[in-house]
Amino acid sequence: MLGVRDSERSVATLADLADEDLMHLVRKGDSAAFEVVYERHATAAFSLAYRMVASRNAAEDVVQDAFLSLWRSGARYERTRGSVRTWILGIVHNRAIDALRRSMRHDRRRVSDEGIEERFEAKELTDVDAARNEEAREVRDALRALPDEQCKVIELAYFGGFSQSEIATMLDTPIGTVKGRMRLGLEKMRGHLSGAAEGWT
Amino acid sequence: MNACERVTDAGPWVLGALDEQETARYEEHLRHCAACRAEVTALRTVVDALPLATEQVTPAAALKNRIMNEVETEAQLLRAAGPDADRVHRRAAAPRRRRRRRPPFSVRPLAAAGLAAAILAVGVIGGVLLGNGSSSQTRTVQAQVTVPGASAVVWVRDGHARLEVRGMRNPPSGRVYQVWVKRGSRAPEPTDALFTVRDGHGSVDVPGSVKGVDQIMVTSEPPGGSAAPTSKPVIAAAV
Repeated sequence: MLGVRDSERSVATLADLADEDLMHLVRKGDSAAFEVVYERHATAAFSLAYRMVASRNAAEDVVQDAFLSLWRSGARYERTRGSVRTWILGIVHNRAIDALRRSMRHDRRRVSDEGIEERFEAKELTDVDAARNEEAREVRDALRALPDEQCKVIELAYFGGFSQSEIATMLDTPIGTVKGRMRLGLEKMRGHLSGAAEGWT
Repeated sequence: MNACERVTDAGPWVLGALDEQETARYEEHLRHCAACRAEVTALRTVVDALPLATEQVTPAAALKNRIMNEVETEAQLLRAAGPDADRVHRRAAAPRRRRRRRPPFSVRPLAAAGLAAAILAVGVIGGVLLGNGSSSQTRTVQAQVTVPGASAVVWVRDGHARLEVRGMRNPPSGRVYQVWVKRGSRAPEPTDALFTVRDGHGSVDVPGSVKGVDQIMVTSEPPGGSAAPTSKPVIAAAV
């Protein structure tokens, strides 16, 4: 594949390929295939990073870091571990947590009880396709349907990058209770999503 | 419903909310506990969906340009390195061949005058012949470099080559640069030429004769070097 020049293949052909097949080409150094993967997942990746680090510049750094690592070590993607999208978002999530731990340790407390939403003023909606909007709506609904205290511990942990002991201190709640809320909340979301989840991975 | 009491760690674990030690302990536990594994698998589907709950924000076009610039440069190097370069991952995974370890070549400050005329041209492999007044000739080859702002030149004289870099950053922590030679379509051959840079400058002699060598490449490798490249080339020169 290395010998295949980008120009010899139309982008339309690549755009028809599944993510998994594109990753096969990316592993071989195919930059055009990488570009298609980027186009498909950049918005989801950036949205997650922005939600977590709350600054465009920092989110761009996270996304750049994550996609370049994907380009340089695409070999580590394994189909068995789930979809390419899940894998990419997992890398973004890890990098964003690293970024949070590096730069925001000193003022992490400030997000405590204010509700995470207030930190994020992202309002530039894009036209992601209808199916994805539907999935997104399901997930948001599932999260909103949770009792506040369950929703909060999940958001603080996943989007805020806080550990369970930090959350326990922050909310002045025993750690066992925090654990319980996390698990209960996730279980409830799973029930809520189980009908819709089939198409995702 | 679930027999294991440690299942209470499943939620924090999938959310990444356990600290390092707790994570290690729970992961060890997961290896032996089917009940916890089942719980973690179930909860992970929810966590994988959480990114969808965020407002969708379009990244700036400039971000894509920055990323694609780096990717294109590295893809060009990879193509220049030839069809075997895509085998590095598999080759690297194979048990390493034992080879003699010699101390890394010393790094000498760059002769600045020698490079005064060498202007970085990323994306271009070019060679020029320079007469030097004696019977033998020194040939300089401008190398492709993936590191922005860095340049590399290979000097070839009497079948021997010397690589000089400037504006180069050091390899990732704990790694060294290793020089490889490539003949035709064969796999890159390791050399014992290992180097790091000081103040962006470094130079190294390519061991042996470069007669019949088509490409000189540089990758970053673990200390002592590798028998097969474990990373994409950062420098490639067609000699």
